[in-house]
Amino acid sequence: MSNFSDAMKALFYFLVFTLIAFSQVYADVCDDAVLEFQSNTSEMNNKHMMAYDDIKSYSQEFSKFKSQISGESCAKSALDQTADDRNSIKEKRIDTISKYLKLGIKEEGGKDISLEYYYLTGKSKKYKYDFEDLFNNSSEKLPALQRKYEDIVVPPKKESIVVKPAASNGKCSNTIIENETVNLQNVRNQDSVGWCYAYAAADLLSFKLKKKISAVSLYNSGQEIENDIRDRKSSNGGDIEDSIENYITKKGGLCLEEDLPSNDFKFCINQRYNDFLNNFLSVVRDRRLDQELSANQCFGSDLQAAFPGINVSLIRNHMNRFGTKKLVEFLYDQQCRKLSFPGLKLNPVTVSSTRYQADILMKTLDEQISKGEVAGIGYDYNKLNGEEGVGGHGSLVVGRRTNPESGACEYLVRNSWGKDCEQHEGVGLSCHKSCTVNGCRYSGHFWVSESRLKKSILGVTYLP
Amino acid sequence: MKNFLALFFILSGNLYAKSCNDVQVRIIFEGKPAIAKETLCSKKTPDNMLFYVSKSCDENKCEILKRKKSELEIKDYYSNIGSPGFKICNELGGIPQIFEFSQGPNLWQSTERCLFGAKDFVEISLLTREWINFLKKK
Repeated sequence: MSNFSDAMKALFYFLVFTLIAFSQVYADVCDDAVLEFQSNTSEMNNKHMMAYDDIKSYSQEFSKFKSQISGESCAKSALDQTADDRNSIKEKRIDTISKYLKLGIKEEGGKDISLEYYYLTGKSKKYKYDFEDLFNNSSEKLPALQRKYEDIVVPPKKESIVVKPAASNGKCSNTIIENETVNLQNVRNQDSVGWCYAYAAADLLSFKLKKKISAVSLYNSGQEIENDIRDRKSSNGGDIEDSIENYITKKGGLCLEEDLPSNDFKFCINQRYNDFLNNFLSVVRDRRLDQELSANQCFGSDLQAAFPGINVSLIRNHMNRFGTKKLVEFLYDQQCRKLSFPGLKLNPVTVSSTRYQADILMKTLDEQISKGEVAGIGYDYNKLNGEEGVGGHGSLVVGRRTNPESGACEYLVRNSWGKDCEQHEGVGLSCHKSCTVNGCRYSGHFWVSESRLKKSILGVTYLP
Repeated sequence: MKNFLALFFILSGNLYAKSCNDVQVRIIFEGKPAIAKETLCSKKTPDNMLFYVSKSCDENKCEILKRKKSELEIKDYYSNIGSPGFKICNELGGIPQIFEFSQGPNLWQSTERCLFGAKDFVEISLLTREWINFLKKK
């Protein structure tokens, strides 16, 4: 009797262990299938956008996964384990279709994507969806996705023709043009003088010649600097093309920024360039030059900052003969005696609104950008910004893009007001930002839509 | 408990201190470029924009960042002579200055700051951002 009960106990334990081992095997099959599915689709899970071909590949992996767990008791549990990932893919697909529809793209893979959209968002159940079982059992409320800005990957048509966003008629290719002398990191600051045209001209030349050209050397407002800087109302403004032609014709070369600094100097006392020049002229006019140089260390320091290596006796000689008349121009000439690019021949071209329609100006601009060249523009800054009053200004255009949200063509304008951003950001106008892991900084550039720029543009100047 | 509080305050102090760093600043002294040291503190906005302010302005401690906003009249704003940010700085009683600093070897950056008194300064782009909707432009 005891032998029989021992045998029964042994059989019982054997059956229990066998059942446990057997169920473990089944569990391993499902776990392995889940792991394999997640591993094969990890790249897609990391994408932000889901094209039709992505969904197709994902669905193929899912079919393979289902065949591995088919008939297993753990199949339902395995399907549930993949539900969150599949829901996430579905949400991304809905997001992608939504962006395509906004850009006017209506089909993908030969299918009407708006029908797919209605099906995936539950608005229509009648659509025969190619991947119907992929997103089943995803009836739970989906977690909100962190939507990030990303360039749209436009799907090719069957004939492999790239579909361009309808809004820009396919002519607005993305580009930012920069080199070692003119780039997104080194925007200039005209400070307190009204010489925007000179700063734009200097950037145009610097880009072409790959050497930083002195902006203030290109002053060309048609009056003495002394009169131009007296107050804001006395500033005449100028022209990009004229400032380049005038200088090269008169001097036969160009002056470098290192010889005549425009905004790279740092004042000892906290003055603006305008204030420094006015103060300097006042000191000379009152015959206090030597007194200031000996009593005020900062005065001497600022003088050297604006006119590096200047010999003060030159100032005294000029003062004795001419007073302050054309003194600043004289000092500019002294700083630029060692001319760079002697014998330079450049023929800047301007297309102006006084002779041509805005369409022609924009076409000229596009041609330069498409060639990888920057171009100077004269424009009404206030009109561009949607503000009252007339505000003539000069800047450089250094890039172009198709706005991924609106589909509109936009131009990247390099301003000369430092790293500030004055724009009232809105439709067709936004500050350019450079971002790192630490945060984003304004670069002193801004994006403006084609329509806004066209309404305010006055001229385009380029160097052939 | 006392030890815990002490540790908490020490750690908090250290956390705040991480937003401020010593940087090198390029100045001109006796006509020659010289390097000086200054403390620069970061100010981050909810939309991830990063600005720099003086240590005295860290955590909005200084007057200009605590100042109540009201209409700010800028004369000749539309004349477009010079940087509008400089005009805003002047109108707020500050002195604008182009400013070069480095946070590491050969990592020089240029920006513009508005100085208020001997210690306080904020980046002009921060001032513009805060005051642009209050401008009465003439």
